[in-house]
Amino acid sequence: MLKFLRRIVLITTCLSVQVAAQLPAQKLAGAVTDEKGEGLPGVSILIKGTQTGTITDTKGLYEIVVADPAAVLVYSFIGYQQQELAIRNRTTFDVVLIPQDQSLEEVVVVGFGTQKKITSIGAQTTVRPEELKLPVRNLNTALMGRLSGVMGVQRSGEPGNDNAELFIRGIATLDRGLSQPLILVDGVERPMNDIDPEDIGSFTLLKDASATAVYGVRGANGVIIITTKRGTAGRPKIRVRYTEGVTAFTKLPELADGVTYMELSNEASATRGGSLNYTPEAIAQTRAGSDPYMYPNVDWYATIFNKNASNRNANMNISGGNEVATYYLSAGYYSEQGILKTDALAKYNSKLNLDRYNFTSNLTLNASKTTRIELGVQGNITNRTLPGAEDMSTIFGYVMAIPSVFHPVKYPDRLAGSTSTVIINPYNALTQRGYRTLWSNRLFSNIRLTQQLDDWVPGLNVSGMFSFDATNNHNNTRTKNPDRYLAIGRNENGELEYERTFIGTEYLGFGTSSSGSRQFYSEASLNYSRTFGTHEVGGLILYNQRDYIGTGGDLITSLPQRARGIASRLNYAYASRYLAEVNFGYNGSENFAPGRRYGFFPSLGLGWVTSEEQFFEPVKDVIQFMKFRFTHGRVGNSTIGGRRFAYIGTVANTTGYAFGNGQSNLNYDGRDIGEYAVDVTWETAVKTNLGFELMTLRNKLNVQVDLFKENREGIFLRRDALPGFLGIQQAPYGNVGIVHNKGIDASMSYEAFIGKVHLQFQGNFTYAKNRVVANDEPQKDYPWMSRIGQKTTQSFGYEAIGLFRDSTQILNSPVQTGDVRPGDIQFRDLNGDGVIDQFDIKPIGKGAYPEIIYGFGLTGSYKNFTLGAFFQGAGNVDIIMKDEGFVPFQAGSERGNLFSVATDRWTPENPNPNAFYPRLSFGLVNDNYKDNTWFMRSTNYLRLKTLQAGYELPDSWFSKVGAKNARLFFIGYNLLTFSSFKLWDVELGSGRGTNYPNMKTFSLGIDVNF
Amino acid sequence: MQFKTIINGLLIALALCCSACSDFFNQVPDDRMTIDEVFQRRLESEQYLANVYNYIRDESDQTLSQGTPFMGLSDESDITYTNHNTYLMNLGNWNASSDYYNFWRHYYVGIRSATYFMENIGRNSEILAGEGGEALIRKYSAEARALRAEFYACLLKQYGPVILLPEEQVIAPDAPMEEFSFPRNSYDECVDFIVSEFDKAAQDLPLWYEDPLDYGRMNKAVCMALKARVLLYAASPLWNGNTDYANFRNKDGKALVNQTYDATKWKRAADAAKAVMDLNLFNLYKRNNDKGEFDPYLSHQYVLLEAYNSEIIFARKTNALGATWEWRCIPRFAGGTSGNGVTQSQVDAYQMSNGEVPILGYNSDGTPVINEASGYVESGFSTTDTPFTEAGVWNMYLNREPRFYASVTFTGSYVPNKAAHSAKIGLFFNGNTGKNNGANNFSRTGHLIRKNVHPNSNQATSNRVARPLVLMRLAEIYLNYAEALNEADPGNPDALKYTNLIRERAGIPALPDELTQSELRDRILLERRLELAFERHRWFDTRRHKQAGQTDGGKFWGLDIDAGTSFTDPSFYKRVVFEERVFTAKNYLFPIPQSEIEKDPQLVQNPGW
Repeated sequence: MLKFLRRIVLITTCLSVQVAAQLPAQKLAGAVTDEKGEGLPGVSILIKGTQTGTITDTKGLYEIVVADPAAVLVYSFIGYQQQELAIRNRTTFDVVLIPQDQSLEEVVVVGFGTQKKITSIGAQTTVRPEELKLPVRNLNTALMGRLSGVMGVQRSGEPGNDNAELFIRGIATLDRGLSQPLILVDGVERPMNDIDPEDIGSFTLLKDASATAVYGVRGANGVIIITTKRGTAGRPKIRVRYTEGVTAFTKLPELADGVTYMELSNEASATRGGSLNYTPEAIAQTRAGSDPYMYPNVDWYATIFNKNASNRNANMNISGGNEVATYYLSAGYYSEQGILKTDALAKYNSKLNLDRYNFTSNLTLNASKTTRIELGVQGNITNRTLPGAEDMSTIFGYVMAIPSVFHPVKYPDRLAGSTSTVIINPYNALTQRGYRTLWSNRLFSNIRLTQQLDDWVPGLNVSGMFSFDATNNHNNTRTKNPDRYLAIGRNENGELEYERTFIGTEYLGFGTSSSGSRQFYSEASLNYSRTFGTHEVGGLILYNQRDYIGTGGDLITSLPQRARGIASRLNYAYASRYLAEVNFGYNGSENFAPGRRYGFFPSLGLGWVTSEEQFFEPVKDVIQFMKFRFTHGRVGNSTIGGRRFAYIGTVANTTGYAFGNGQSNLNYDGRDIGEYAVDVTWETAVKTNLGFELMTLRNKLNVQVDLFKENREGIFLRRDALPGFLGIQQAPYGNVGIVHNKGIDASMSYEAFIGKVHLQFQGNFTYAKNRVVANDEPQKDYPWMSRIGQKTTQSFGYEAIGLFRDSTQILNSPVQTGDVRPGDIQFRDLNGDGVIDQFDIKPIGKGAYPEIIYGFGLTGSYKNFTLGAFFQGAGNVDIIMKDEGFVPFQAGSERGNLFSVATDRWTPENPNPNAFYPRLSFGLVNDNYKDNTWFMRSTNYLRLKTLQAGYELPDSWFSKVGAKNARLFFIGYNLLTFSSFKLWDVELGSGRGTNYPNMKTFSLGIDVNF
Repeated sequence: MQFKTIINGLLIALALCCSACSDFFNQVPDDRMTIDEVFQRRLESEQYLANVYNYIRDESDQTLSQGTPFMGLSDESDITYTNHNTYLMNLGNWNASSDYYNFWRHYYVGIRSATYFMENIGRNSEILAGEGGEALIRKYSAEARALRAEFYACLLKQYGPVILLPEEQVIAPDAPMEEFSFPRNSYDECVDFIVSEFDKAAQDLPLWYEDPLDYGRMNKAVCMALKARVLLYAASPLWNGNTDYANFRNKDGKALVNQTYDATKWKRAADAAKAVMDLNLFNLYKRNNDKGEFDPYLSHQYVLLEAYNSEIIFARKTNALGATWEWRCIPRFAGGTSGNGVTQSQVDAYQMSNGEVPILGYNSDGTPVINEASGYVESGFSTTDTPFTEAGVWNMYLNREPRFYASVTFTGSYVPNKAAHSAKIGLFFNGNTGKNNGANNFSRTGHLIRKNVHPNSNQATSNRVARPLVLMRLAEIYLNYAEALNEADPGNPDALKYTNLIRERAGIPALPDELTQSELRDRILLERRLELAFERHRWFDTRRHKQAGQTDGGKFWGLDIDAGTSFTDPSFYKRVVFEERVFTAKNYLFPIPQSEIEKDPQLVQNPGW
């Protein structure tokens, strides 16, 4: 930032140098440089107390004539600390300007406005937009570990389907899906996925009640506020950035080869008294690989994925302006080439790829000295091409369903595939089923008018904003499902004989669908801010309303979603030392009965800037800044899932029935009560936050710690306690859930010079733990069966003691279900009734959503070089491995792939008590693979999220082409993962690793400023 | 002045926003149809009633996990798919929390909808305004009552004694908790209630369908037939003085199952079945061949295929017979999936064409004890064609009764639609529908079900002949009558007579007169097993006779599908165990889902679960 400012040619009033006649004038010259010794052009130099002065030239040199030898010169430049120097008869004066310590003047974004950071009370965090410029399309995936308070998981790396699930300070309600934060872009509720990071001016997280109360029923899950860049006055600045990257999977599951599959399949059956599935000849043939059509041995992942893919990102923006108008214009391009293989036979392109074009234009007009008009228009167009029939996680599922020895990828002249509807040839699904093209256009626009009313009441202004957003999405599908065959043998001539297993279509069909939305948002506000001596007073009253329509499948979803409310804030600071603030939101939602639509959400904040106290002066050399903050308040959450207008009962179209004797028939649709009308309202969250801020070591070490607590009540739930024999179609909703959540988030940064090396360290940490207090759960027979008192995302299962050693031990142990033999998992009989059953299921592990998220990074720069690494980690998280593909032979020999780790299993010959798998089985013959601790693994991890290296090209190289400076850089993303869990990408969660893994990226780029 | 203009503009904008205040939120859909309006209109009310009918399960889907499991759980068949719940249940690998086939909820939703319909239909102004409006309301109400009785009957079959809910009114979903805690009623209370409900409904219903469009609705004859089934179950050993259930009690000590045998229950069952027969509405279906001669094979085949033939009492019009049932039964090469296997014990049960039982029992090693008198041979291959088989077919399949050929697909036979798929069916390892290359689509037993597959259906082209799914037919009533009468009045010639009528239609000789009560009982149950095979009776029949301990547990046999390279490769034609099923006393009933037990403190779980 400072670098750009340095280049700003300040527009200053023309100064006339007046020379006092009676005194001998003195000519004074010198150079003004920055801390690196480079000349600073455009620095304003004034003789104190006068309007007389000059500015430095392009090399930072200046001359000034001063009449009074006792005069004092004032050097000022934006972004630098002002310096005052007495002349004392000197004639040369070289001055080094020191960059301003911005922390004191820094403003922070708060709900519906900004505040000085030093006197703000709410718990908010910001991230430097620079940090978000990563080689990923989806901004949402870059946040974890970068801001304290952001928690979450990224369950898929599939292009276009890679949204991380984000939670601010953890999950505080019972439905994860309803825990999403409110996201505001330039003050309007908008998605953040497709914002070009280059266009972000600021990124702020609001976490506590005082920060979010103004959002009322929308604020309980926290708020993310993004503003896009605006221009600053000065001559045009052009910036070009281009990166090109290579991507690869972080980790794919490793699957067993055909021979291992066949041998273990035989073992699984034989070890429980069954017959052999594969003859020794078949295994030998497969091993020899001499007839891959009759004895296939396919690595299905290798058939559908390339090793690498690529992405590309380009952005060009220009900003500048004058005192009347400033502008920021930007155009961006992002492209991602999928990693999927395509078949030369296919006459079309089913490559999974994505192209996105962004544009942003922000204009500010100063219509008069007191009137400002801001116009923002942003948009993007996204084009995607996908395989025709299936999404990627389904194709991953197919790989898990089809053993390596079932049939080849394809036959010499035709497609291979079985009759089954569940074992699908993944290669066919990917390359032979046509393609889909999706494109979406989004337009976001907003205009704001601000009028200063200082003439009327000093410090008062009025502002109004209107926004119109529209999106539309189109989907053209061209699919087919061609014939497929199975080789059933070879004839006398050795030619393959086929059975046609599916009669399909060879030509592409066509389908199309589209959807869209539009949103109106408007707000009007009165703002007041004034300082009376040591008293700083601020006030805000704001009205807003939103009207959103999306295309819905039915009447209810197609009705506009509307919300409106009033927000207000009063803040007071005494001597920047004692701070107080009251916020409230009064707003409503149409989802609730007319009498229960509006709610009042107040909050109170108190702050104490200890370092401003007189008594603190002695220690100010050690601790430059210290602040305590306390906030407490109530926020709401009116997002209640799919059910809108809960106070109105619905009539549902149900399955009907047909009558008639075969010749004459009468078909009826069905009708029944759909949902019962219930008198419900929003959830409320009572949030308390205690914060502490500290700056020490000459402002170089910056620490911020927040303790938080939240009690979420009236959580909107279906009434679980209603017995089934009531026969209710859908259990009615009620405000019956209670969840308590508490934790700590903290961040620190440190900056130091070691010799000429500039080091910057930053780190942050979030811990949140929730507990279900009420969930309308019926009384459980044993306390450990209850979800109450557990985390909302707690896993439940049996507790594994070990593997049974012998049949005597089985006979002397509590009875387990199914075929139990030595080598099977022994479970603990919690209630001591001698039977392992539903009463022995208890909370196991910590759940698949981490309680701890942290990140830390170190950046060093030396001369033109910078090198930085950023790590992100998660703790207190574990998963349960399960389901087809992971469970060996879950469906016998019929379907199901096999992990290569299956060779580590218990066998009578090698009764390893610590084997990965228990005695193999054919089908789910006992409870080995019911959720239990044997298959639970910690998925704590630490990732080298980014590794960056940059080199600033010497200015001289570029000055000829008009460039100010240029930087070459490398960014590696997700390069390393440290975790004890190795089977699949550690973030994908429970199950069998069938989601598209997260990607790692190696990216090279250049950044040029003109 | 510019500044003032702006201020004024803003104020006007604010005012505009606020003026819209009053109706900003009132865009809620208040003109949608409400449930009260449903009961003011005729069509919508009829649709509501159709919705109640839909809780009659489409039992043609016996395979999928959301289907109906009673065939795959019984000893007559095996569903191939090891990832389907029936597989896990047969292995004993389930408990009350598994929530498999939770029809507890399903039928109670139907019960509530039926009660709600009866509660509200009386005020339908549109129907009342029409001609005969009140009578129509009475009829519709009676249909709902009959449906509700049938839903209770289905619960009773699966779960034993259930909770009888208030008859006239549904319980409000927001009622206080105390109002929806009930204990179970005793089995006899349930039976009495169901019977009285069927009787009550019958009073307001027509005897039989007057309008072709009414077929499939509840009527008096249907009520009587369904009632006869309930009474037969109630008279059977499982529920008639079953001392195994002495401790099957509510928490307050109330016994749920009577402890003394009552022979008059058989009489009641026999009378109820006889009453249906005496309506003279139905006849055993008989079909002639091209030459105009009575053909037992065609009769057994088409009794389920010809819509509302003279034997059909109750049927479900909409069903998945083509899309699921036939698809599962048809061999793989003909477009099906070979999923519905027939166990060896069911194959063994079919009699010879001379009416004799081929196999009398099994040795401890599983080999059959062959009834020499029957002429049954289990080794070698035929050398000549017979009316149902070609030369080269294994002798096991030779000279069996016609129902066998209409019900079971075996190696060397053809699919019913031979015109479209002329290949001979091979279920051996390398056969055209064998395990090799079969993915998961092959029979684990070496046999497939053939019954209720239409000869004009072609799965390969998705050409499926629609027909109602038969839920009750006269043959069952005959067999119910014979069985009950043999217990209520041993020696009554009617018991033998009606059994023999079934045999006559099946194309096999009549049973001799001199059978003892016990012998006749066995033969009636065998007829039932064969005549009603794969019609979802077997699971219940073995239970109500307390035979399931012998029939449903232990080794299950089939042919060696892992062997065989040709139609005459003897390695395939050998009895092997394909599965070892687990049966314990608790398996006589389904467990009530654990979640339901937790929700009602007064609700006791079924014994053993």
